[in-house]
Amino acid sequence: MERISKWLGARPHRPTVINLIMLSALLAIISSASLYGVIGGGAVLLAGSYFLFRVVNRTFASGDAMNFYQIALLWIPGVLAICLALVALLLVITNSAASLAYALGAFLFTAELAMLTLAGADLSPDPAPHPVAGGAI
Amino acid sequence: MDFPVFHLDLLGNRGLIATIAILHVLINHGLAVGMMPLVAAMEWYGNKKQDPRWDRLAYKILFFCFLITTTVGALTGVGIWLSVSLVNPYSIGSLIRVFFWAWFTEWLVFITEVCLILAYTLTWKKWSARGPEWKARHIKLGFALAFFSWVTMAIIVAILGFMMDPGNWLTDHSFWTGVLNPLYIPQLAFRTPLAAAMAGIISMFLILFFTGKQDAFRLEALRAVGVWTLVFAPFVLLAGWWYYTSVPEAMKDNLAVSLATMQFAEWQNKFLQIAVVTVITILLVVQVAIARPNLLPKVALVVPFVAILWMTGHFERVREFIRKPYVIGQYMYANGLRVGDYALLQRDGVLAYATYSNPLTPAEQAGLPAGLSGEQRDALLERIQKGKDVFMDTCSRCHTGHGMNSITGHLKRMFGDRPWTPELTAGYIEGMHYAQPFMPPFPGNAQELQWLGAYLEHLQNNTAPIPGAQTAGVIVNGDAAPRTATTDIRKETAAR
Amino acid sequence: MTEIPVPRDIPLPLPAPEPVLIAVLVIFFLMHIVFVNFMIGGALLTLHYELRGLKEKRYDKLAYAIASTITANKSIAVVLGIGPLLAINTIYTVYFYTANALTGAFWISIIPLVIAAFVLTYIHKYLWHQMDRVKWLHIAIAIVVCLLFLFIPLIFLTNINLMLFPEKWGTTQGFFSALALPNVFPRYAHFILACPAMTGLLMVWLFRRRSAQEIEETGFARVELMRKGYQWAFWPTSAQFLVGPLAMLTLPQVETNLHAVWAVFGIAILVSLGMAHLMFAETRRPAETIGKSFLPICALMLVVVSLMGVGRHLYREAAVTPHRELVRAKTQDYMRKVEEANRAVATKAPAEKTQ
Repeated sequence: MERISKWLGARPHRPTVINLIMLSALLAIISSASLYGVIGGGAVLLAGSYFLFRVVNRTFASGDAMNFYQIALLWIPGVLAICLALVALLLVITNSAASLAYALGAFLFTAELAMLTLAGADLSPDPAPHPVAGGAI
Repeated sequence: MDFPVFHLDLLGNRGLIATIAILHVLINHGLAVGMMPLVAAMEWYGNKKQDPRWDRLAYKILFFCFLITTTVGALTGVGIWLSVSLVNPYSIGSLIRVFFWAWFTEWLVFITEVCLILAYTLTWKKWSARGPEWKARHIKLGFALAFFSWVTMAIIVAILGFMMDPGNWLTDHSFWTGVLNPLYIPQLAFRTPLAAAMAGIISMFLILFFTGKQDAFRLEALRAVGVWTLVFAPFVLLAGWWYYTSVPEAMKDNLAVSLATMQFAEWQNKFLQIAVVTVITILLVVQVAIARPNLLPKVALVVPFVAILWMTGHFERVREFIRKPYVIGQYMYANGLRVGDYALLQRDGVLAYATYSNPLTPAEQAGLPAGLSGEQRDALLERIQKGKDVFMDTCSRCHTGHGMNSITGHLKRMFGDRPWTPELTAGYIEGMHYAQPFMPPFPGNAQELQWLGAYLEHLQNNTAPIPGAQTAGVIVNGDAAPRTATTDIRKETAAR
Repeated sequence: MTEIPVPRDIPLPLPAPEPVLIAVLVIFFLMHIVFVNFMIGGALLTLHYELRGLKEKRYDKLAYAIASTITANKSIAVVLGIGPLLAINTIYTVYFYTANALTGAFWISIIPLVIAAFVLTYIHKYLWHQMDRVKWLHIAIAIVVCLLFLFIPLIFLTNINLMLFPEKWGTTQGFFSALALPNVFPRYAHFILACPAMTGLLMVWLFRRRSAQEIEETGFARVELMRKGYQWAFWPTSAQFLVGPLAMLTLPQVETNLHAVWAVFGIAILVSLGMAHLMFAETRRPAETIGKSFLPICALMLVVVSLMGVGRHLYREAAVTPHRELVRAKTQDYMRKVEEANRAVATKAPAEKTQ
């Protein structure tokens, strides 16, 4: 238990990710399309805006220091996550709860929400634990 | 079919072609067409950054591709040809006569490609050691190789496109009208980014083998190849959609029947779904490769690869569906008989013009009804023999007796376990092409339909595999002239 | 007496004038077969020297030097084979496809067999030094490669032989019965003997142009290596003077006269005598002058190979032509009937409409 809480506490984004996973699991179980749409969409909006805010900041802050490729590496994880999360949301909303598409959609949505949060966290001013894209080059 | 009939009763003849062809497409797209530009780009990038790690990686990937493409890749390419000429000699023989020069050009480009890949691989170390000028030359060689790999695909896709939709070729029989058919560009547009994305996935997989876990370069390489893959993935979807929308236009003649339209729509929808799933798996892998390259497991890369395999397989099947019931649209049916021959064959019968007969083996003669007199037995066997010949000449190119896509399987599905009497089956087969628009009409006459019925009834009680000419040989039908008569006939024809 | 089948041909015109297709077939087939000779001969010589290398290390190095040539030759051999295949498909459609179908199982097994042979060749070459500790396994691979390379040509040859004899089609049941046709084995022996001979010349060419340093690394003197090459070229070539005529005499009789074929093969024998003489002279030459006759030998070899190709084609034509006339007549007759039937349907259809 202690180890888990230690692991969670080590990086501030970890509890957020866990919370989001639980949230989407809950949404999947409730299986109400409108609720999923509103709450899930809201979560994507929130996490997405945070990422976009950070990435725009970072892009302009670095000025000419980064080339096109490095900027692309900054943007790709989050943008991909937003796109895929929206596709997943679409899948969930348009399919009935018992279908395979719904299950895959819910799974994809959970994964992408987590990825989006991570993408935002990687760019937060508090230096990220992993080598941020472009950093290694 | 006026050739001895090669037949595989378990795998099915189309199964043989499909196995070889899918393997070839995967290697050709993933390891040649898509991979060569990627390898050349890696070499170029490594040279630009003066980073020998890129150079080493590119060489390792190239060497792997070299080993596979010059063995399995090249030979399955020949294998498609050999298998098609075994299974449907009439169609490939006709295609070669129409497309001889396209294939000839393809061959010249292929020679160039092989020479280039030999040169590119074998000179890599030597030329790199000779200094920057030679290195630049070597990189150019790489891009030339990439270009020629793509050109071979571009030519062969034209021939494939022709088989689906011969367009105006039927009226003016020219080569270019065959090439410039309406499905050509969409198909090429689909295959090109697919090849590039496949190469990206495969090389990420290889990177995990060729670099160490602690190697910082592994992460850098995964990210870069991830970007490469990402650039092409959306185009797979876009071009797939383009292809999907241009098909109905191209096959409107075949889609006259609403049933066909419905079945086709089902196929197409499934294709689109699979394409979406495939592209999503590719994007997921790319996402992880870029955001957390250190967490990317090898097994994760197998998923999009399997998805691509699935999509390619389905794509090729849709392609096949589109050209049914023809093997060369409006000219030759899938059974290898020309559309123009039908009037004659339906009047006189298929067997009247068949040079060979396919002898029944002892195992195939088992299972006759009990209590027949010797005479009745012989008469029945004769009917079954003729029925078998009809089956071999008109059905066996797509259907087996008891294996894949078996005729008995279809009959069982439709008629269950009640006796498949000739009245029942012959009546169905006569109008089959109305109910199943992708089936060619029965080419023989009424008598042959009854023989075929007798044979199908026999198959209900006899599950022995049907041998092809490659094991049972053939019997030559009586109307053949001995060779000694040649001179007379020649004189005769000259006199005429 | 068995019936001779006369099937009908595909009713589409040839895509090019026949002489063009014949030129593609004969010329590219010869190029293809030369590289196949290098490939098979290379594999055989590699095995031979690797076995000798067990006792004397420098032979192992020589074996490696020869093995290094196989993989490039095999790629070129494959790619050059496609053009002739294309041409034979158009000129001999009926014959070729029939022979393929009758030996189908073995014909299609060419693909997996060649893939296996090639993959093993790569393993043998690229893991040569890594496998020093398991030399027996390495040699076993070489043996398997040789067996595969020796077997695959037999499939091709059986096909190309069966294709010439329509009267045998009705009695052929699979590959092995086609193998029993006369002439298969003499032709096969003729082909297999050519492999070490051609590879011998390749060895001379290879070691003639190697730098002094590379030669030194092998542990042999240049003259020794070249002499070995010439010996490989000479002895099998002399054996061909027995096997060649045997292959020629066992050719099944055909109805048309074969004077031209005999003349071509006769000239080929005379030229080969000259070539063999030069080869033998080269094996006796000292280091200073060895290689003097290399270019003339190659030129004569080119002439011999071309004559073989021409003679082979003339015989094939002689064997097939009478039958091809029958096929042509039958195809025309069939097409006439097709047209007539179509006309009948066309006139009937409007008549029915008016009724």
